[in-house]
Amino acid sequence: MERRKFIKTAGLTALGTIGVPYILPTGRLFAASGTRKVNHVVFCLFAGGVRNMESVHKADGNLMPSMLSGTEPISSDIISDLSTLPPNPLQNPLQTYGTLFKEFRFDSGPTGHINGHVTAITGKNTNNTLDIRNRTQDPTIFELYRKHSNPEKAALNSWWITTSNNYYPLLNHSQNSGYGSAFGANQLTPNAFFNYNLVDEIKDVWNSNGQEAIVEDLNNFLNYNFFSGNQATAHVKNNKTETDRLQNWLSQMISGVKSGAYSNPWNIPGGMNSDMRNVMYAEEVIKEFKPELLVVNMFGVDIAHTNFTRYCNALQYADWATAHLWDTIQNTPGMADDTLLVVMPEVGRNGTANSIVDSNGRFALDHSSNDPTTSEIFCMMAGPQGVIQQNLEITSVTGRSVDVVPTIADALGFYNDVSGSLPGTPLAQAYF
Amino acid sequence: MKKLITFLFALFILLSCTRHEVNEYNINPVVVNQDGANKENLKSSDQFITLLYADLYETSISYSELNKLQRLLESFGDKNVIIERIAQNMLNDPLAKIPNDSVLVQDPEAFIKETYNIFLTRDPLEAEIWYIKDLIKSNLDLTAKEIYYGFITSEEYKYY
Repeated sequence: MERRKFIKTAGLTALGTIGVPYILPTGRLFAASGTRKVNHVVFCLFAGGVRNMESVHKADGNLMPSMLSGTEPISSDIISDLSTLPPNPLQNPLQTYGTLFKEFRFDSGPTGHINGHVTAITGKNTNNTLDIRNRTQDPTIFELYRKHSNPEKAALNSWWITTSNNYYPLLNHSQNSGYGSAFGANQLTPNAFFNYNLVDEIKDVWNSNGQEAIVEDLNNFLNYNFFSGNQATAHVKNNKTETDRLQNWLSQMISGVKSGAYSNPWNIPGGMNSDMRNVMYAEEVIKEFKPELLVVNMFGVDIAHTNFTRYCNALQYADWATAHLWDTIQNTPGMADDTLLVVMPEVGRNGTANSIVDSNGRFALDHSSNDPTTSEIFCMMAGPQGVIQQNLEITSVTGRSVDVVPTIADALGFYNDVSGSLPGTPLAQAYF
Repeated sequence: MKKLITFLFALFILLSCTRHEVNEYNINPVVVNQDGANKENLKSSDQFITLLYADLYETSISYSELNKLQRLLESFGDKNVIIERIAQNMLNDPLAKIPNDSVLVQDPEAFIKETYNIFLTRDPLEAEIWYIKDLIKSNLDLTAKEIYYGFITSEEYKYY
């Protein structure tokens, strides 16, 4: 009996000795085992609802000449109302630096903007029960990335840059108990935040009496007492070093805003629209923090609900901004030639127009769930040669919006850890 | 006669039984407000700003000011980063009601109690008074403004 007990105890001890070193702080047994294809991913949600007809099918000419190859002339009835933008920031259209899925699909769920965003960022389809006032239950790509990367990644590595404060900021993390704010992304709504008058409220930095360390001690003491019996923070949190970096960057940015440096640095005739400004600030984040994962969205094309010509114009702005984004990535040391850029509208638009007509006699477009054309979108993946197939156009129906999250996970080397929870698969056709 | 004696005896027994007052020491239900353990609700951005403004300026915030600060707070994911900046700007404002630093030397305990009551709406524990008093004594350059900043940026201040 004693011998049996000894063998049992010795066996358990041996098992524990072998097993314990592999239990990571995240609670996982094993580290992420995948190999990275790139070290950075930028996901540009070309959002607001874009119909393939006006984008990749070029029914009104090539309205996206900075992204799409081709010189198809723009329809004569709308061209005079479109803005003249500077030449393409890139030497060649963006699609030549990667793979274009012309017949991508948002294949399930209501075709609302929020549903589209949630699907794009969680890799899960939604339905009519989606709670648009609260954070999603499913973990976002930010949480998957930060939790399953090995080693775990700090918040400064992941960013969510959004055009509006209406719901979208909540997509920087879910309320999933296994993930949540501890794995969330830094979120910024720059169009609201870097407002000329608003930044006056936060322009001063701490004019302390040299007692920062003591104040920090006091703060730690108060927090220690409070947290002894209380709940965790309900928002994403950066550590002290990261916070200091953020504060310095914010001070620089606020100075730039006050000096007018961000008024129109792209020299867009008539000024930059909000999509361009959002992308411009995302580029500032890229230049400063070189994040491994950044998601940025646009929204201007949603003017299509009431004005078709202005929708086409907004497409041009979004196109130019996306090309500029790629140019900045390629001119940022550490990210150049090591970044995958994914571009995808969150939903399409109806095949049948509504009754609102613009000054050119064109009818406006909604995006209704019962119109099958709304599920037709495109997806573009640009990346380094030898990693991403260059100048490849896939014209058959290939890929779904739920595939983007697995594609990002695959690119950053943690797909094996999350594949079981995701309905989509990586877009292997774009890879070598 | 026998009946009368029995009756008188019974009467005597009954009258001799007086009500004995028993001292009962029950605990009345009172709200114990000694530590932050009962604060479980995160203040919303407008609650946080409204209270911060009231605590520092002793007056209500205007709608336009609230709107501005709320937009800033909602536009940035890490609220601590923005709270730090908002607090720094308010504390740098000469209109903010910050006690004179002399109170730290004259009556640190009263200052500590008052600060806990303003920001954390509770009395400090003895250990908390001791720690902060010691912090003040050992750092003579520490100002009331800095101590206020420490409280405003504490986790407990974010909850009610």
